[in-house]
Amino acid sequence: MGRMTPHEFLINMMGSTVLNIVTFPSAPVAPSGALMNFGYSIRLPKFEETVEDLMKKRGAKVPDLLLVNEEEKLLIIIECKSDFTFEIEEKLSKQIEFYSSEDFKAIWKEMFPDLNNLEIWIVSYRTLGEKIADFIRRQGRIENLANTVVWEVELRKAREEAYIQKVYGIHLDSKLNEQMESEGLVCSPPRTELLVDPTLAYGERVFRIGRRILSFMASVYLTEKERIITIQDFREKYRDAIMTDGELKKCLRYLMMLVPEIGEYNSATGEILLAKRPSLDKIKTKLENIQKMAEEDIKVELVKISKKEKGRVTFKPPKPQKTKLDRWLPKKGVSESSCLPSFINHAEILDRNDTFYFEFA
Amino acid sequence: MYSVEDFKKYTLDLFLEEATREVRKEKRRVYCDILISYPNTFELLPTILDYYSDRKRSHWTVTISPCAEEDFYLVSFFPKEIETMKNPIFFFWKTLRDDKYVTILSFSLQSYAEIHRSLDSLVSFVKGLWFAWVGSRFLENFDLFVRRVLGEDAQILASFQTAEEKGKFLPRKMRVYPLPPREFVPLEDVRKWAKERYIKEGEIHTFSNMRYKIISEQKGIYFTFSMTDRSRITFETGDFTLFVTLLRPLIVETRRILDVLRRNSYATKRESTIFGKVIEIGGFDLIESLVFRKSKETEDWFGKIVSLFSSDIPQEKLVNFILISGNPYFFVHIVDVENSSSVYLSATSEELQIVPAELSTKEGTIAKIIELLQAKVDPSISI
Repeated sequence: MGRMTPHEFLINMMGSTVLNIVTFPSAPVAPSGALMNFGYSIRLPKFEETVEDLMKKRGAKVPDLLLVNEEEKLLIIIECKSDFTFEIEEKLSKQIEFYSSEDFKAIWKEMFPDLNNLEIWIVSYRTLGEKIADFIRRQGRIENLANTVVWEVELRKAREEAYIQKVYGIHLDSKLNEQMESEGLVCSPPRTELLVDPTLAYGERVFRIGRRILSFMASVYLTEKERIITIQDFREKYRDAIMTDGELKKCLRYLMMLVPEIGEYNSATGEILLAKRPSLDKIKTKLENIQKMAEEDIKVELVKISKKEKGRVTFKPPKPQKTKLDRWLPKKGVSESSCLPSFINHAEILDRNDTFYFEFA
Repeated sequence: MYSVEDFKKYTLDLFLEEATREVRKEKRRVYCDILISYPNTFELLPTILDYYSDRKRSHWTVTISPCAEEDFYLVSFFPKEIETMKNPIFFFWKTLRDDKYVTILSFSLQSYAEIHRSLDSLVSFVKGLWFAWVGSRFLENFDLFVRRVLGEDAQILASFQTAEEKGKFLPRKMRVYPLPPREFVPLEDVRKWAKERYIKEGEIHTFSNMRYKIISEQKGIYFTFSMTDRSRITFETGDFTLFVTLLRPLIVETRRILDVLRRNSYATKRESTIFGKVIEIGGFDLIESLVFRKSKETEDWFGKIVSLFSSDIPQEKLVNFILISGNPYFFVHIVDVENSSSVYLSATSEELQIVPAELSTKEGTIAKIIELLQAKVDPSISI
């Protein structure tokens, strides 16, 4: 059904607190961009493989969201947690350690030379806030631990609003700290969906990209060129696609193999040639099936597809038989050969690039 | 008998004189359509017309040539099959440009069937060229618009041409309901009737074509014409030159609507480095959304929105992916595979928001969604 998971919901809700959504013609019920009033804005960096590899080695990953406050010279790392199992606890510990490390400091200092400080915000639902706060208290052993704050989100459905409260830590930004100590923040549910979640299951990621690829389709194409989508076209249209070109190509390859109804894929260039009259029902059903798949399931499915293609019997029209004369005759001087005249009665000699060929009549 | 070369000598004034004469003496109709195009599409139009003409399925070879006045063009549809002895179809296009759009006033004096077949075919073929959308609410409130232009003394009467009920096209005998065929009534009565039907029976009526009679004794105006929700006008009686004065504010209105239909998101892009390698850092400055609040009369606002967008709408070429369907919050990604565009629509029990899913929305996509909302959720939704 394409529904957002609780983790994605948290990320998109945090994203909406820094999106300046200007409404027309009337005012919305609850405000969006609550954090914008404090000078925070979203940054979507396209981390290269080298950084991702470095993080992987240290058991960390690309943060869920990055915010900056240029006035306060602050970089904010947001980690959203919709669950808090032992594995997640272990992972979060490694993440915090990495974000507090000199290695990561070197990265963000190079990326944002104007910023001076880093702060980690861990955002979770109301039931988990205290549990995460206890966990952070126990992290004292981490050397030079970055300033860490825990927020919890409560969805008040009857009011159609989300309430954010601070349960642990002190913000470096005194204005925000004052707000969080007193009333907290009120924000609307997300109005847009950001393609930023690095923890997205593979199926979900391919599904999201597939939906976006669908939006390139048109009822009429003027030229063949209009049916071609390049990686650049995708990035131009979707500025929130922060993954690397390699990652995007991989997703597109999976997508196009699993949903060939979309069109043809050139794996070398990463270009898609959209089908002229695609079967939208089939595409939608297949996309929704992909959403439920883990990367392993996708790979199994791809193997099945490739086996089917190998096993398929294809009837190719027989090619006209060609015989190279120099294979049959001594290399020295074809024209000198005495057996040539006897062949000529049954064959036609064709001169192709200074080599003689026979095509049997 | 006129030739193409004669037509090329025309200016807008000359055409208007000719059109007025034809309406008065020959009892002919003038067909006037407001078309919108992106500037780059309009610049490429001669090449696009070549593609169109080269298609096997196209019945015509189409050319666009300038006339004797700047921004005034002759668009000719020459039938490919000469043996059928069909006449060429001619349109006169007056263009008005700004940085975002080219507005085209397309005039023709030929038969209804010929004009609609040829122009519809061309518009459906050319991406970035479409009939300006005004919508059903504008047709219903046309008297308010005309009075602003012609003054309070103007009398505006209307007759139904076609009507839709709950999104379904009504049969002919129903089309004139509750009015006798061809009878004109004040638009206030039409609105009153529609509101009563909505409150009492919960029936929503949308209008796709209305026939108007405008009388202003002070200004010496007497027009009869019909107009569709895609601003396609058939002028029947009156001084056509005078009628063009009414077209100018109509163009301003269609231009205003376009600005509302096009919602943008303004993304930033700057470069930085990691380990000496250049990387891109994106951001969002601003996202424009379109908000509609629930009207007092609407019942089950949230439920209707959920049921409308919970599945695909194939007739409108909309593919819908539900992202959140809670209580009471609904969030859906709508992909319009006709116009290569997609939007996010979110709804609560009080309001509805439409936000671009890409850099900007296509006007046709939003118009389509608004039409659906008007017909199935809340008739008062309007821009």
